Amino acid sequence: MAINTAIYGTPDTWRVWDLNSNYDPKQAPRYVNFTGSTTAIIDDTAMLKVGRSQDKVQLNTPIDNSIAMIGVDDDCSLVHQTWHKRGTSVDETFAVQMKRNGVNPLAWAWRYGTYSNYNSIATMLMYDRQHAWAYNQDYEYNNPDIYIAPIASYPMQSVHVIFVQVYKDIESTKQHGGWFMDLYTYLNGHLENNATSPKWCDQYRIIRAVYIRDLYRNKTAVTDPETRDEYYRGFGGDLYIAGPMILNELEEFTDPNRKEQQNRVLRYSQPTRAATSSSNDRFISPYRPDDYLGITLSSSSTPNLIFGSIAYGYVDCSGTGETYDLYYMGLVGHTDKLHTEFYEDNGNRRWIWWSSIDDDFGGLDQFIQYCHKQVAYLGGFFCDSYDAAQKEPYLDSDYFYLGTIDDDGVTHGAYTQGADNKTQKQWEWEDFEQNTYDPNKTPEAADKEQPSDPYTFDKGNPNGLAGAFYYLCDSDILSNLQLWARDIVDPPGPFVKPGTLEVPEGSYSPEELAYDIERRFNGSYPFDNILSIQWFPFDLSRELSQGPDFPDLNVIVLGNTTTSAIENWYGGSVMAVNARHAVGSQYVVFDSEAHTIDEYFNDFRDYTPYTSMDLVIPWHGTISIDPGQWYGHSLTTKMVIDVITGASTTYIMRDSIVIQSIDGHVGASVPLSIRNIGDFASSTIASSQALNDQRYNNARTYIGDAAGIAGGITMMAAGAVTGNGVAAMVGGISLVNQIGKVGLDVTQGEEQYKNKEFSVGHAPSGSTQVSSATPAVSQYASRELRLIIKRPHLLPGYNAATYGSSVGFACNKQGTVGSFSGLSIFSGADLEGVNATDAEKQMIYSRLQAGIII
Amino acid sequence: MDVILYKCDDDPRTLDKTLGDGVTRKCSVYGQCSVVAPALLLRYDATLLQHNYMYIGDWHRYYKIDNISVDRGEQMIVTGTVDVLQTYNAQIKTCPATCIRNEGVGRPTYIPDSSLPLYPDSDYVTSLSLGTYGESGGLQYFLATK
Repeated sequence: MAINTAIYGTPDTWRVWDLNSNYDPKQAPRYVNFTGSTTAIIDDTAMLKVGRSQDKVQLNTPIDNSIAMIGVDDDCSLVHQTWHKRGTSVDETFAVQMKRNGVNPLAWAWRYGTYSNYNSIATMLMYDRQHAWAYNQDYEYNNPDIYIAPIASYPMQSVHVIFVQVYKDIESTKQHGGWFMDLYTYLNGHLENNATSPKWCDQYRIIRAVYIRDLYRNKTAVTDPETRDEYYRGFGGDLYIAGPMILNELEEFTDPNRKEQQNRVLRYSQPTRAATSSSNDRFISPYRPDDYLGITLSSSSTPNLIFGSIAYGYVDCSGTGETYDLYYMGLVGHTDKLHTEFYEDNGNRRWIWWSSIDDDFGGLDQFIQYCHKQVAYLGGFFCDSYDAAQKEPYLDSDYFYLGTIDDDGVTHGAYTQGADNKTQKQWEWEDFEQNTYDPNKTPEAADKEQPSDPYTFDKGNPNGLAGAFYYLCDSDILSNLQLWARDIVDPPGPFVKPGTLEVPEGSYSPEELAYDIERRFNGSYPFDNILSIQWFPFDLSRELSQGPDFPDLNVIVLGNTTTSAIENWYGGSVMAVNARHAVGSQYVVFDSEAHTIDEYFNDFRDYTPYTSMDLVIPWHGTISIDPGQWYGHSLTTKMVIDVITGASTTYIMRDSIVIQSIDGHVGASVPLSIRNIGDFASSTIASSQALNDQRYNNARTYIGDAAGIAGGITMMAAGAVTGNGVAAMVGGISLVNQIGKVGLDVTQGEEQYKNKEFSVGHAPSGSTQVSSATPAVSQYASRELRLIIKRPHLLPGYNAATYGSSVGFACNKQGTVGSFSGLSIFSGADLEGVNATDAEKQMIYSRLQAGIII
Repeated sequence: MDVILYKCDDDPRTLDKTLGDGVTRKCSVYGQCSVVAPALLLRYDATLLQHNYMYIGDWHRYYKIDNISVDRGEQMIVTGTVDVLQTYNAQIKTCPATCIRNEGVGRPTYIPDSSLPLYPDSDYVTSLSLGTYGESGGLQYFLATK
């Protein structure tokens, strides 16, 4: 198995230091020697505590840094838990494991306690690459009882949760409810404003976890938690005020309601002296100007310093007030929010650990959230009310949180609260066999899904709308533009054949028309300069940047002229046409809000082929998405529209990652030119026809036959969709300067002339095909992004109880046969240990596979 | 040889059966038989005809009674088949196994279950709005000129 050096470093960096050496700040790891106990800190990033029996530490032996990097903070996002069963069978398992593996501890964690009722007890938590085990010794330091349990496969970061009950056995999670974190404030007698004899500050306990044993609490209320042995409490992870300081406002901290304290801070005056060392000394701190808190765990005697919000602690069964069965939980970890510092104290070297709730956590509320996260890494129930932890009977009340465990048994610091706790798999756990996490099946880190980099979009050219003129219009503006075009090109009289020697009065020859165009528009017909007209199904003025003159209107630039007021053929005035400038990017971008998709059934029916999901994207159509990819993730879309061409692409993002996209065409090309041709030609020819048939015939001879006319129309319409980019739009608009060169059917011209209403829709009336690329129908679509979920449902009359007892619910669970209940059908079993004949074993196999009732 | 005859109402698939009305009788093996499917010769007793289960202590096995034949001489022949579930109850419970269907789960799981009675041709359709793009009306035309 490869070593994940990114997590643990290379093996040559794993060290155990000589704990008898003096502190050398240039050397890492560093250590501090407490009363009879030794603590080593490794490289400022991790900490390993060892016990006072220093000969247990294997000097200069590589250690597994992972034990010092687990369970705390984001560095420890991969946290595995292993729960151990109570009873002799567990012990046997551990013993077998130990024999099989010939474990050779690479790291040690030491727990030493002196308690009045059982003298000295030492527990050593040891870890190698495959196992963690507890090594319990009696006060004579001999006759050890060894418990060993497999932990997550190396090199996964792991939380090694070991429960060792001294003199007894190992408890399982299922018989307990989990961890109940209790956030509250507590000051003991050491923290006093005693100027004459200041004592070093003791507990400022903020975190306390209550370990509830009765997992069925949600079903059966604890009737009298104070007297029943239903819970354990006293789990450590406390905060200590680090420093021999004088508290000025002690009264502020007498209120146990943390909410009322969140805006208060501890204020200290100058320390009068350093604390004297005693057998109970844990922290000897220099003066600090503000409320720096050290994190350690609570213990009434020898310190136990393995850091983390919930670092290391004990659980004592104090419900009865009689027994003090100790449970040890070994978690080691590190947080960069915890600082270390060495200082001199009356010639003694002291070492402190401290954090600032304000500076390191951003305030009490943030600190509490941080604590929530850390406790959530444990994957159990917890709460932040001491009172609720003891008395609140229901685990789905808002008092309680539940750390989320994924399918690999990994916690990530996430948690649910209240009724949402029921959605977590632990809710269903009723014994440890239902804990689906098997450390021996833990995937290697390399097999895990690699985190994805967030998807970034190139913003494109912010000045995309440069080099040309862009306007935002409505239908009135375009109609006015149409009228403007007609008025300036409509000749006043009949139209005669080129080269006609005698031009009747009031008639125009093409030569004159061409000349007039040249004169009036400086040689450039204005509509040659229209690049594109696109219609969009939304208000562009809300999406595009607009020119500095907005909302003022400006005339439209058309080559060498503008749509300003102009003289018409008759010497009259043509009304100016104004529109609004658009500037900036040529892209309109629509981002949808993130929508988290959750499972509905919380079983296989939530997945294909039973459940299907379709995303209906405006103007793009419908795209199917795989439900399994989206549960627990956010769905967002980003639609990017090119306003010049009308083309668009919609990206579908899972969290921040694009996993699907679909192209579309939001804009619709508007055929302004066709109507102009019709208007012009038909009016011209109609005038000729009104004068005399001969001239009409002449005109008809000039403009050619119907076939040629049709070809002309088609060519121009096709221009809108051929070629590329803006240039392609020119062909669709060009018109009058081709008069005299292309033919036009008289009848068609008449029909178009009669079509008084200029339509600017995507499928304008009286026009031929506009653009095959324009999804005309889509313009009539909703602008709403919709998620369509199709789910199956059960036949009427379905009864879960009957189904369960007669068919059984599909599962794939491993455990001993006795751990299952009710009708159970097995695919296989290991019958080793069954003292039956071979024929009988075959019968047992058959029975198990056919189904038995347990 | 003693045999204890019981009445048992449990489903034959039950691992740990509840046995009642146990009565002990002397018996002998009827002919040659195996311990898996024995035939026992007992003195006729009409009250035993309601019993459907038995335990042979010497063989340490429980049996489901398959048939009871009444023979001449006030004898009856009881044939049975070993109930391995009851006989090896305790040992079977400790065996590691993989369960693929289970009543105790209580509800469908993430394992696809083709037996679950789902409507094959009718879906529940949920249509969720995830937002609206843009606003209609206003300036909806984009004009590009040169």
